[in-house]
Amino acid sequence: MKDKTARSSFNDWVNAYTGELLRWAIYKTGDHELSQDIVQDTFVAAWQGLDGFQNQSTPRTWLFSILRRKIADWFRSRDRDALGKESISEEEAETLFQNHFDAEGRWSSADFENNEVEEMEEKLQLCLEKLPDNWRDVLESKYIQCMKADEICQVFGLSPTNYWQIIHRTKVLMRSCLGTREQV
Amino acid sequence: MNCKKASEAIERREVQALSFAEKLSLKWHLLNCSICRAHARFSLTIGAAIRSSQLDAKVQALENTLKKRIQNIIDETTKD
Repeated sequence: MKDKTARSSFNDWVNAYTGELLRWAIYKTGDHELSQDIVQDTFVAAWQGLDGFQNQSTPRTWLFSILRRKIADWFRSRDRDALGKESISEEEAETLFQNHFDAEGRWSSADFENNEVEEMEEKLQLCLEKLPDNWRDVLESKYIQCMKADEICQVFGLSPTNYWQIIHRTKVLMRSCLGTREQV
Repeated sequence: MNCKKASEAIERREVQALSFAEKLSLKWHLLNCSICRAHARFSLTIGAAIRSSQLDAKVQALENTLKKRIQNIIDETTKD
């Protein structure tokens, strides 16, 4: 069972990952108090389920998968009536995407603004929210959690091709959203 | 290589090595297409923008008290 060694390496996990988990929870929920509770619950659940962790993934990936579930649970209980997250179908993806290139694969609009990081920030959140849920999750995992591509594929059950298509599509959509000067 | 293929290749090369021919035509396309050059730049800056959007110094303090809190709780559960 859980001996002193387990206790001490679990302590290392708490020290190593609390910050990242907390930042992620705050980013997702926007609530500092709540996020501390969720991260605490995550570690308690991890400790209780430690036997289920079989070194198939890194501790970090495993903890994040528990945290994701906790956050999803929280959103579900908050939006009891709202629709849950749904994966976007290939058909919907095409529709969302079709306006950006013409039949010859050229950019269909040249409304290309020079996006500087600073001016992006105000609209960034709005534009991220417009993305399909699962695409946004992939993009955020890449850039906020700094997960590697193969890790993201594993967590989301994506093939490498799915993965780069999502990254490509989200960036095209983000650029088009951020590049539009009028109010979103 | 058209703009769609070029902008795809820019992301695809992260997970799949491009062939020599693809690298060459991507280079050639970027040389001749300012929109795709801008898109390639954007592809990098958007990452930095997303990352910096969640920076928060306040979180650092919360992090330290939370660590103690969690460790105390784990200690409680492991007594007896």
